[in-house]
Amino acid sequence: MSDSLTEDNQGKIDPSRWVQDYGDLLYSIAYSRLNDDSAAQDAVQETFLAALKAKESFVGKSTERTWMVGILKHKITDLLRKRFRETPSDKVDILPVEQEHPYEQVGSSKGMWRPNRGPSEWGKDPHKSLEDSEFRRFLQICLDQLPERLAAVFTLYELQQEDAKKICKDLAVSATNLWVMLHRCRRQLRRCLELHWIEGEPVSRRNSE
Amino acid sequence: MLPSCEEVGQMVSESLDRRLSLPERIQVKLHLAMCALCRRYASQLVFLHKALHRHAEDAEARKEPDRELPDSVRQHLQDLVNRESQA
Repeated sequence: MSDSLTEDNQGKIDPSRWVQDYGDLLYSIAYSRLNDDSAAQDAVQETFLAALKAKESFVGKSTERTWMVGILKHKITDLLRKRFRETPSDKVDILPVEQEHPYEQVGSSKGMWRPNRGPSEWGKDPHKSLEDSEFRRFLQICLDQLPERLAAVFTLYELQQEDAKKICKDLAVSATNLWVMLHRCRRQLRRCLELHWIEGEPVSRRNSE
Repeated sequence: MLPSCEEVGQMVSESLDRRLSLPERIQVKLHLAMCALCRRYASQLVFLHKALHRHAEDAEARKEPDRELPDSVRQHLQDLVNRESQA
């Protein structure tokens, strides 16, 4: 046991190679979920520090890469939770899709699709689209346009794949509230993809703060 | 009361996350049978849901990362790891 460093699995751990082997991978994942250079770099740094502390407990059941990505995901989740809690909730973000009022607002047809505002026919094969790098590029652009508080909860659920009950508990939101937030994000993403990926509208640059 | 397209949209979204109640499932099924636009909307939401999971998994599995750490940051991290692993 005291020779754990000479065990096969411990021998595979070589922290001096970590930055070279995993730095860009971790940074890419972190950036795609946090949409911010310095937050992503912080997450990578925290991951390496945590991995150093925990390296004795890495028993080689998964690969070193999987282990490292797992630690990163925990750090990302912590950051996203923090973002959600610290962004003021009275700042109500009306999403562009909601501003378009695709549904009738009043009258006997209230809640029905307005003429010419319904979803268009995409004519895309979903299986093929998942492989398409253009699609993935637009997906990321559309995700990045979500306002911060909604983006945080949406990323936790759909990309980090955190459990809904856990999200409700950690963020102090009700299940109903969560479903509404998720749907608002999904509506916005769908519409953003429709406009840019399907209909070819150029994406306008957001002002970066 | 029969649900509107907007309400059905919300229920379709929720069906991705939780089991709808029997009344909800019936309402959704009936509405989708009659409303082509909502059928389209529903299939697009399902596609999007799958695409997001795939997007997340791909990012974690990718051989070639799509971003590179700036050299200065890379150096800083390497120095940090070297320092801390000697501690």
